[in-house]
Amino acid sequence: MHLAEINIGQLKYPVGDPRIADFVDNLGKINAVAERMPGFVWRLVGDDGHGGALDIRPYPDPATAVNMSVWERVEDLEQFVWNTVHKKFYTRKAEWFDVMSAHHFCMWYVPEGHIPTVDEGTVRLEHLETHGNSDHAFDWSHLEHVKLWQSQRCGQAG
Amino acid sequence: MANIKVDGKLVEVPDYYTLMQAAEAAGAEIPRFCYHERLSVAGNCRMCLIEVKGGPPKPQASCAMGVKDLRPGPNGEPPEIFTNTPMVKKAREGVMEFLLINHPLDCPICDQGGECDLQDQAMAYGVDSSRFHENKRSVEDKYLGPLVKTSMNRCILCTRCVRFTTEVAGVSDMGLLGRGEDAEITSYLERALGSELSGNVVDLCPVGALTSKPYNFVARPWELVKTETIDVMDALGSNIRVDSRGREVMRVLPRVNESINEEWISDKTRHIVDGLKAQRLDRPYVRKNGRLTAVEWPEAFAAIARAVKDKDGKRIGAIAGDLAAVEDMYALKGLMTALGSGMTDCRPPMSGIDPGLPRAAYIFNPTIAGIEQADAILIVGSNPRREAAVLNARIRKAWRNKGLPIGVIGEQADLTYPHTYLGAGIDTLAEIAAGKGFGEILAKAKRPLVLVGEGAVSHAGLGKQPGRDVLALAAHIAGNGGNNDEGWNGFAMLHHAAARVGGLDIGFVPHDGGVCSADQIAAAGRGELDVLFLLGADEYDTAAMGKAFVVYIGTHGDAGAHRADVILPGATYTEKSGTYVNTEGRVQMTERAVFPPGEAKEDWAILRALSAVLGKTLAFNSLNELRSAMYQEFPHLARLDQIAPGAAADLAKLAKASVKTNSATFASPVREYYLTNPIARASAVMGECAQLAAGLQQQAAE
Repeated sequence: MHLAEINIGQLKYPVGDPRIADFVDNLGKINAVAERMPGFVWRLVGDDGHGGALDIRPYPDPATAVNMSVWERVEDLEQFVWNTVHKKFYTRKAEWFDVMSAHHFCMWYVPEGHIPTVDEGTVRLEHLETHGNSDHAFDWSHLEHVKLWQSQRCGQAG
Repeated sequence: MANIKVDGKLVEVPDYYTLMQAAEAAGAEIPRFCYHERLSVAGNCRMCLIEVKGGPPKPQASCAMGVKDLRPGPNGEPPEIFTNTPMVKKAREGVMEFLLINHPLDCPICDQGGECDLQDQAMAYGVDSSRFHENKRSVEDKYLGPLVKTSMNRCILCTRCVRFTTEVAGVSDMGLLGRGEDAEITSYLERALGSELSGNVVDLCPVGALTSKPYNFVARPWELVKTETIDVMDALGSNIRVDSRGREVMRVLPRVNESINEEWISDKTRHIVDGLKAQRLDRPYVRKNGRLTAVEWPEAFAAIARAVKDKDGKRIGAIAGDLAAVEDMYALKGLMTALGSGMTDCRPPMSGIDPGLPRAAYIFNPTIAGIEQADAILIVGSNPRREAAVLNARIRKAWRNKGLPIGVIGEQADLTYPHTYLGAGIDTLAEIAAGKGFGEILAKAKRPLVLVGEGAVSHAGLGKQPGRDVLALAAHIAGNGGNNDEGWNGFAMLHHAAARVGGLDIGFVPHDGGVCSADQIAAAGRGELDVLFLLGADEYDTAAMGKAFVVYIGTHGDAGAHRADVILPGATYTEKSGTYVNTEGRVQMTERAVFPPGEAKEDWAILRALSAVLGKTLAFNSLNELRSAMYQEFPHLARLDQIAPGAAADLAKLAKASVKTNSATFASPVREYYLTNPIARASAVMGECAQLAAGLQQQAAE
């Protein structure tokens, strides 16, 4: 089985705004780093001109952006999130995204070769929100062997 | 593991824990002055008193009592301690009252104000008046050298400074004399501290008795903007915090990183600060009629364009200095490639580091933290105390923990731990590799560590002997005929410059017909090289560059700038975000704390702008795009704080090479610890330290 993840965030400002330029301008670089990581399988690519998926807005609130990706193992995703340059941007999340009260990040297992759709991702995220952690949909705390999120996760604002 | 109840909360902790650690594991905070987790337990401030159930009817010092010292309850219940009972509160208030009896009320003029443990604890446990009506005791201030200022009336005799200098720094320069009211901390014969780590006692001092002399009355902690970044004074990449106010860096403090510097930094790292402001190049210069004249950027670029125009790439060279960031070298390499030149080098003068060898042969494979796992150490051609003072403390720590055998080949030196001096050069190394003498000890070891300094592969000592030979012998010893523990790679190259491993990683070495730095300079002297780019390269023989047109991109008016025909002012490590790869091969990034002075720019941006003027525009318009391209070419550079390990098989192959030996000897490349780079040489504080160190050396010799 492979691991899929969906991560949504409420952008504080529209994409062209200079206040989030640092985020938007770096998307391409960080996505490229992800693609070169061992264990990378797939990521959601839209048509935003930055190599990301900023144009895909599956929620009624147009400020809610989304990213999705598939990895061979959860450790691969973990390495990318906290042990690469991605970390430098991860820690600045609060500068660009509003704090969300509901779950904004969710993982689930997919059969090898399966590419999840955005709808599938939002349904899993909703499942996590309503039912809490389960093998159907879970966050980092559900995985006992994955530890980096405890020490590296960004503070309150994230 | 042992069970213990802290304030009614049951926790399970390792049985070697002290009661203080157990209480912290249960989330109870305990005030302390003398206890420090990296030093031995003294138990003399008594601030950490707690109540032990079933114990003697008096408060106990929690730092000095172990979990296993406690008896269980009558029915085998876990032992119980309390940190918040009236007894504890009263006891701590009593201790605080005693401490404050003799402590002066000079917080408004004390540099520790705002970050003082005593001040903080007095808020929690102090009383607002004193019952002590006699005179306060007065203690004469001591001289501890140019870095540490003393105000001994404030001292509460916690002895952290004594324990640090004795245990970690390995110098017996400080001690406590006298008893009771007459007790005082003093240095040996009022001499300056003779350690490269002495600045750390300022951080350790819980009160304002030891404060930083250069930072004396300069700023208050709450005025400062804190930037977490990386040090570049040596190849360790110690984690630091740069405190700045406005456009000025005010001080440098250590950050905790267990893998690299624990929580220590060297004096050069800490007190370089004034060098960041002195002798700065803050605008471009062009040499006109033999004199350097300040000009605008376009004029400087045009002068370079004239010099480079129509020149064959083989007649253009580039040398990167000790402080260059990977991004800057990447940009310069891109420019050189565009100009058709393979004449790039980032290695020190006379270096025998073979650019053809794989990564495992030029990084510190066992890692810095791994030094503590070693069971025997051989130091080859290095003086780690001068080349990487904090790493030297780690070797000392390993020696203190288990008394491991340490052998030294190269220069005799006081390394702060006992070692066997084996010989001076390559023939001794060959004997060890053949299993003779100290070689027997190494052969029995399961985790031997062979530390090879840049001095061991420098042609200054080796003559014509290839550096590869030394590395092959070292790899042979480290490999230990396959008898090592699984996964242990003890081949450890210790570099002394922050830029080195990054430069080697991206191949900033001669290629496509290029030659090394020494040959480039010699060619320039013979008139066979027309243009030479120096990227902060000041450690080279600038007088030998003949009539070559020298372009210096750098920060300080040092050797390179004096020789230059064009000066392009760059940014120091506190003024840019740059990637540095430390001697272990660990990738780290600096952050900008302040902006470069005047018209100075970040080096990569200078090179990008210059490339457009030269008609060889580089394919990136921002640091972001540069990094994208760089990460694509060298993916391991994107893995921050991580090490891409070298392949042990590469070393095994290297170890098999046949080697001819001669009587060549090794010498450490760092002669003056305090003056190794342009920033340090611009610093008055470092100058004073260097002068003092020279004096101390002379005294020792007499």
